[in-house]
Amino acid sequence: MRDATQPAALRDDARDREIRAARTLALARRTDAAAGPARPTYPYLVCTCGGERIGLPLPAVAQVLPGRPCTPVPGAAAAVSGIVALSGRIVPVIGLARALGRPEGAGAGEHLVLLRGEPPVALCVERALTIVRSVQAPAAAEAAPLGNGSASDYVPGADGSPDFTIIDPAQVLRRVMP
Amino acid sequence: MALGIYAIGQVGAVRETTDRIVARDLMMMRQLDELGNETRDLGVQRRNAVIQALTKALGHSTRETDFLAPWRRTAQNADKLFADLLREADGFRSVAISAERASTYERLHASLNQALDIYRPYRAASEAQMVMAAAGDIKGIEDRNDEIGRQYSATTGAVERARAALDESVAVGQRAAADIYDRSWQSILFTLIAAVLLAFLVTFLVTRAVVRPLNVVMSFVAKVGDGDLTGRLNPAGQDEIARLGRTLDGMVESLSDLARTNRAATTDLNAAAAEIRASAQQQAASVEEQFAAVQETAATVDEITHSGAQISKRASEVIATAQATAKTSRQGLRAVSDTAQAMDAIREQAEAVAGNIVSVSEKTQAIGEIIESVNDISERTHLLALNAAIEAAAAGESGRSFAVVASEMKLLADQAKAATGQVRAILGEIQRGINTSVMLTEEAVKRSAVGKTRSDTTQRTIEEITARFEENVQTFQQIVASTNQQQLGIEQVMGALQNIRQASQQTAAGTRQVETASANMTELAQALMALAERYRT
Repeated sequence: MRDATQPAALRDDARDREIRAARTLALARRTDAAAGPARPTYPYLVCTCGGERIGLPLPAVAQVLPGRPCTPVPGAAAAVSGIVALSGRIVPVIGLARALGRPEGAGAGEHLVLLRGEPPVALCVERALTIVRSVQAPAAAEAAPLGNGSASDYVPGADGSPDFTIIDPAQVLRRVMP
Repeated sequence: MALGIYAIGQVGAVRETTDRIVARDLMMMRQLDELGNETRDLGVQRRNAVIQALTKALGHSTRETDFLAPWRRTAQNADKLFADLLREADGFRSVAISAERASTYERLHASLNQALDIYRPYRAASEAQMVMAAAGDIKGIEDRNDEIGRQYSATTGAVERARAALDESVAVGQRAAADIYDRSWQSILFTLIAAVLLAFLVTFLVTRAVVRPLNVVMSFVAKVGDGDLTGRLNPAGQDEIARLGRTLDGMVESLSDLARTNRAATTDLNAAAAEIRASAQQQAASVEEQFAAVQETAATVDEITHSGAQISKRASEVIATAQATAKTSRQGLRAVSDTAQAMDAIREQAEAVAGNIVSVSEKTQAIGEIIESVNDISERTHLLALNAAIEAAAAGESGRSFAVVASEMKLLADQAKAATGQVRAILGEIQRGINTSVMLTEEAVKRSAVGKTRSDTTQRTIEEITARFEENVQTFQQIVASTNQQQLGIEQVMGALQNIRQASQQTAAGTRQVETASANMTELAQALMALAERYRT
C-alpha cells in the first residue's frame, strides 16, 4: 500500500507546486489588472497553428467543429485544402498555417473553425484551445483598406491564459480568396 | 663249350652202349641160368618120383607125395623160358650194334633151337615116366630110365652150349664198347688240341688290342689316385677303351670340381666350427645371465606375492567404502527426485502466475479502451464548451452568465482530459510492467524447466554413479578373487622358476659339451683342410 501510494503522493506534491506557482504568477499580474480602470474586454478564440497561438475574434466565429477529411479541389489556391459538406452546404476549408506561411504542425487538422459570413468558410487549425477575453480591441477593417495596416496585434498572457497573436480572418480570406 | 658238350655226348654214347650190352647180356644170362636150373629141377623131381615108385614097389611104406603137379609147373616154366629166350635172341639179332654181335646172337639162337629140339622129347619121355611112376609101373620106368637119363644129359649139355654162346656174345659186346670208347677218346683229344691253339691266338690278339691301352689308363688312374688331377687322357677312336678314357676324363673333371668345392666347403666348415664355438661361449654367458635373471625373477615374484596380499586387503576396504558410497548416492537420488518434483511445482505455479498476468493485461486493455472513450467524451465536451461560449458571446450581454458556465465546463473537460492522459501514462507503465512480468515469468518457467532437466540429468547421473559403484563393488570382489587365484598361480610360477633354474644348469652343462664338441669339430675341419690340400687341381 505504501509503495502504491508513494508515487501518487509525489505526483500530488508536484501538482501542488505547479498550482502554487501558477497562483503566485496570477497574484503578481493582478496588480496590473486591478490598478487600471475597468476597461471593456473583447473575447478571442485561441487556436494553435504551426507552433504558434493565434487569436480569432469571437464574433467572427460561428462554430467549432471536430476535424474531418476534406475533398481536394483541383485548380484551387495552395492554401485551400479542399471542401467539406456542413449542414447540407459546401464549405471550402483553408489551412490557416499554410495561409499564414507557417509550417504545418504534427496535429494539423484536429479542429475546424467555421466563420460567420456569406459564403461560409472554415479554417483548419491544429486545436481550438480556449476563449480569452482581452482589452486589446480587434483591428478595424476600415483602418487599412489596402492591406497596408498592421496585420495583427499581440496579446500577452495573463490570469493563466496563454499569450497569442490576433489575426483578422477577413484579411486572411482576402489574401487567399480575393 | 662245344668241345665239352661233344665229349659229354661221346661219354654218354659209350656208357649207353655199355649199359645196353650189359643189361641184355645179364638178362639173357640169368634166364639161361634159370633154364639150366629148371631142367635140373625137372631131372631131380623125376628122379624123386622114380625113387618113390621104386621104394613103394619094394614094399617099403613111403609118404605118398604127388610129384606130377610140381613137375608140370616146372616144365611149363621151362617151356616159357625157352620161348622167351628164343624171342629175345631173335629180337636182339635184329637190333645189334655190330655185325659181329648180330652173328653171335644168331649162333645163340641156333644153339637155343638145338637145345629145344633136344628138350621136347626129353620132356615128353619124362612126363610119360612120371605118369608111370604115379601108376606104379616099375617096369616101364626102368625100361625107359636110361633113355631118359641120356636125354637129360643131352638137354643140360645143350643148355650149357647156349650158355657158352652167350658168353661169346658178351665178349663181343665188350669189344664193341671198347671200340666206341677208343673213337670217342680220339675225337676229344683232337678237339682239345684245336681249342688250345685257338686260345693262344685269341690271347695274342687281346694283348695287342686291350692290354696296352689299359696300361695307359691304369697309369693315369694311378696318378689320379696320387692326387694329381691336372692330367687328361684325351683318347681318340670309338672303341670301349676310348669311351672309358673319355668317361675317366669326365670323372677327373668332376673330381677336380669336387676337390675345389670340397676345399671351399672345408674352409667354410672350419669357419662355421669357429663360429659355433664362439656361439657356444656366448650361450654359456647367456645361460649365466639367465640364471641370475631367474634368481631376480624369483625375488620379484616373492614381492608380487606380498603385493597381492596387500591388494586383496585394500580391495576389501574399497568394497566397504564403495558400498557405503552406493548407499549415500541412493539417498542423494531420493533428494534429487524431491528436487525435481519441487521444480515441477515451481513451474506449474509460474505458469499460473503467467495466466493471471495475462488476464490482468486483458483487463488493463479494457481500462485503456474505457479511458479512450472518456478521452473522447472530454474532447467532445471541450468542443461543446467552446461552441457554448461562442453562442454565449453571440447572445451578447444576456449570455454572459452562460459564458461563465461554458468556461467552467471547458475547465472540467480539460481537467478530465489531463486526468485521462495521466491514467493513460499510468496504464502504459502498468502494461510495461506486465510485459516485464510476463517475460520474467516465462524466464522463470524456462529456468524451472531447465532446473527440472538438470535435476533429471543429476538423477540419471546419480543412478549411473550408483550403478557404477555397484559394478565397482563387483569388480573389486572379482579383483579379490583374481588376486587369490593369482597367489596360487604365483606359487606355480615359483615351482616353474625352480624348474627353469635346474634347466638352465643343465643347459650350462650342455653348452660346455657343445663347446667341447665344437673344438673337436674345428680340429676335424683343419684335418679335412689338410686332406683337401692333397688334391692338385
